[in-house]
Amino acid sequence: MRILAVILKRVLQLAALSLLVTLATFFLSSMIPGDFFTAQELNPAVRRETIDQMRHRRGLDQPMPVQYLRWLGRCTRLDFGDSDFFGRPVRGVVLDALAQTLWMAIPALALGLAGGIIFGTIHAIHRNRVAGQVFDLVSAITLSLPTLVLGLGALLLAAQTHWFPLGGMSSAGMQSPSFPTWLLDRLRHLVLPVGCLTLPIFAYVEKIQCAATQDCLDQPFLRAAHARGLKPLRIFFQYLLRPSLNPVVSTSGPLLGSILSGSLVLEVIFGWPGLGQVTYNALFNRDTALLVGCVVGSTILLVAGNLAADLLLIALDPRVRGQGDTA
Amino acid sequence: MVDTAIEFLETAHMSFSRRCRTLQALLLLTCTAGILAAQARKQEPTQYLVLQALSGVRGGHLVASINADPATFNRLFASGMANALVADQLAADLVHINRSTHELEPSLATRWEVAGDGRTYTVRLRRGVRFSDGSPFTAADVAFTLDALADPRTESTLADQLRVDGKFPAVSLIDTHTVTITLPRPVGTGLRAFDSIPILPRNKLLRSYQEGRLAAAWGPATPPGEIVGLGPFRLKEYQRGVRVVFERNPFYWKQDKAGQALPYLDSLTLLVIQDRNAEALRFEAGELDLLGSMSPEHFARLRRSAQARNITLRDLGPGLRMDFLWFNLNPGRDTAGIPYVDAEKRAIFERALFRQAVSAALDRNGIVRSVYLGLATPQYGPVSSGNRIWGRTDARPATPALKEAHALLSRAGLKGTAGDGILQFGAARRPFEFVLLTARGDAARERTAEIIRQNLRQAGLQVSIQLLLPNELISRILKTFEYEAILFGPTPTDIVPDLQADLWYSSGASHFWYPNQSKPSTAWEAEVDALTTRLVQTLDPAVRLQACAQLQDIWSKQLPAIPTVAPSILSGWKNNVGNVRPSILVPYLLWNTAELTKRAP
Repeated sequence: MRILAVILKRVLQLAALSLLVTLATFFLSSMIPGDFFTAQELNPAVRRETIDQMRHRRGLDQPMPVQYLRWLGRCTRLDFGDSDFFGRPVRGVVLDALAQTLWMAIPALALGLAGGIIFGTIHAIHRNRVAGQVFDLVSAITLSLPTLVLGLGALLLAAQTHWFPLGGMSSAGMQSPSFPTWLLDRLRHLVLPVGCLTLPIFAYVEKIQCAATQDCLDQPFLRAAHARGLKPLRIFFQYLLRPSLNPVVSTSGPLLGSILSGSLVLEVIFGWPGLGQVTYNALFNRDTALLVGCVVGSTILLVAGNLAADLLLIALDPRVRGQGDTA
Repeated sequence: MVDTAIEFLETAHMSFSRRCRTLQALLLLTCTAGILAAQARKQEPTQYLVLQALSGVRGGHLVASINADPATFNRLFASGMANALVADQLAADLVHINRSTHELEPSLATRWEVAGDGRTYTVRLRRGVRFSDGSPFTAADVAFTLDALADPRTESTLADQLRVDGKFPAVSLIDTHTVTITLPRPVGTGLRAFDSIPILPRNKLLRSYQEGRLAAAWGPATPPGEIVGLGPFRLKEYQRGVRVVFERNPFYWKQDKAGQALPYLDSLTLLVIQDRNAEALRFEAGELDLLGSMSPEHFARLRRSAQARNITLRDLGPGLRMDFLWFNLNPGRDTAGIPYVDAEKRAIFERALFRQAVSAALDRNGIVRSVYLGLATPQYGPVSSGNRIWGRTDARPATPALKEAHALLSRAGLKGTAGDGILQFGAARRPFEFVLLTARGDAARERTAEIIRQNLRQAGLQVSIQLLLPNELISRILKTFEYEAILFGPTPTDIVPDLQADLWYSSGASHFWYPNQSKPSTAWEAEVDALTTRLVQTLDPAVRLQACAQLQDIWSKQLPAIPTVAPSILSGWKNNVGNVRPSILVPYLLWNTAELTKRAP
């Protein structure tokens, strides 16, 4: 019952959030002058009548509320309009881009969480030693580095050392490669963008895990477990690690948001054709339908992340399950 | 038993009928194949376009880049440099501008004659040419393409390129390989506007056109085999945001002097790289075989190691793009009845003496040195000096003439200061200051604007800089007219000044400083209008050149838009890429992909 309630809550949240963000995106973008065709207006070889006709056919000459309601009407048929920039239906572009972003996001999230939890726990255990201070310094530096600087630094490293490809998803010269060759090539291209995306997540999770572990270390149940003579490994996993994971798990859903904002910059720098790059194109080319599609895609990803985090929390913590049962 | 026998007989009968049908189908297939083969044998030999000065080695794979994904593979709908470059690999035009010599050359047309009326062109088409799927090319394809283009439902911006005074040329078929094209009036550039107009396969696209979905027919999701053209390559693969891969079109209709069919390359890959820095780094790392244009910073850095990297770097000199500084001379008012520009200030802007003073105060050499690391050229006329046929190359002192500027400003009515060095104007003796708008995100323009601010401060003018997103800036220029001064510049796509007629004409929407005038507001604009008409309507090259020179003389004196500098086009390619013929016209290095060769490194 508890799980069903959580899912229902998140689905309702998704619907409300999507409506809100699409409304906000439509109206905010209407406040910026110009549209997708404005850039063509400077071309003296193109007549104004042609551009106006194109605008009219796409309904861009209508007031923004009318455009929004029309768009909403099409959405009920799962038609999110057409992208002028890509010349394709928005749904296809966004789904395709979302899949490419997941290539980066899932390894980054997994590596960031795993690394952050491991190092955060070690950091908390060694908090009063030199190692603890080194961890403090490293995570402070990593957290303060903007994604743009990280990305450009990584690109420069690749250019100087030739260890990694300078962006893109695959090597230019590859013609019909075998699956292992293709996979190896894809993984090589993933190293730098995933690395840059992982670092801030790692530093953030490490800080939270460290604080949570420190809290647990001071708890009476841990001393009681020691007093009962339980094996150290059992004490570590059951009485220290498991309860300390709650804050990390509950923040891992919203972490997807920071991954998406990080990928916006990194995908442009590394030429990775994911949702970030598509959003960037939509924004700078004033492709409103595409921009709204990207925002909806990001919202779905964010809510799905939160839902997964909620379910994981329920599975991990009997107290959360208990709250549900009594409710 | 009987049932079994009947069942056996039925099975035998069905099996026999099936065999008969199979035999019939095979027979039909054989006949069709025979007829097709006979037709193919009957087809006249290809009338190749032989490039006499060309030689090269067949084979190889070339990798270059584009900065955006293609939205279509139909050249008719391709807007933007990247999309045009992609679509140009798949299509061919009747006549083509040689980007190296700037001459109009035969392409699918072998020759053309103009009638005495100066507007009817008889165009002879190349015989024996086939589309990339092997189907024949005839005059019907030309008529289909031009009819589709003329149809307003098609909504192709290329159609406007062909329109003369708003009217589309009339096309009629003479025979299978001859058409006549009648322009609404004589046009100085002749058939030049037909460059890049792709000839589409009627058989393949007629239905899409009739159903009103021609624009969507060859979209990014279309299977590559569906896309058929007369260009040097065929589409092999497209991965959004990653790459476009082309393979050689076996039916291409150009040959080199040895009779070798073009293109030389087996395949061509265009990587989608949006970020210019990443693009330059990938060229530096050897992932790209050539790079049409790079920033002065990358060029300067690569120049030091060009030999070690086995690459050629070439400064092609100033391109056609240049920046102008102009003032808003529009006397109109906004919807609230407020003038676009303060009346007293506009009165100063309107004085040619003021604009000449501003021009004199500009340190163009300083801009060239600081912003472009010396890789740009100061400009004084409306046509870039990089345009060696139509542009003026007369040298002027590029250093600021502050003394001259002060004298001119004084004559323009700007006198006296309140001790802060800022000149005063109007009845209330207000300090003369204005806001200069330019595009946000364009580092070169932002830095140029800052140098202009400093230069004009020395001359006694207070300038504040405001950065706007490009779309907002364009909106202010063309629609709202809410600005005092702007630093910006359009990029012409051809060297002939005719394409900029809308900029010259006082009635033009691109007559930026005061557009859409019902009649010329000044005597010099009336004179420019007349010269522009002479330029665009006369066929005589000498008269056209003279009209353009006079036009530039008037501009240089009146300075409605003050030219600043034209950045150099900085290109590079690996030394194992052959037949590279750089051009100042986009796409700089990739305009002759059919001719490019690649040797083993």
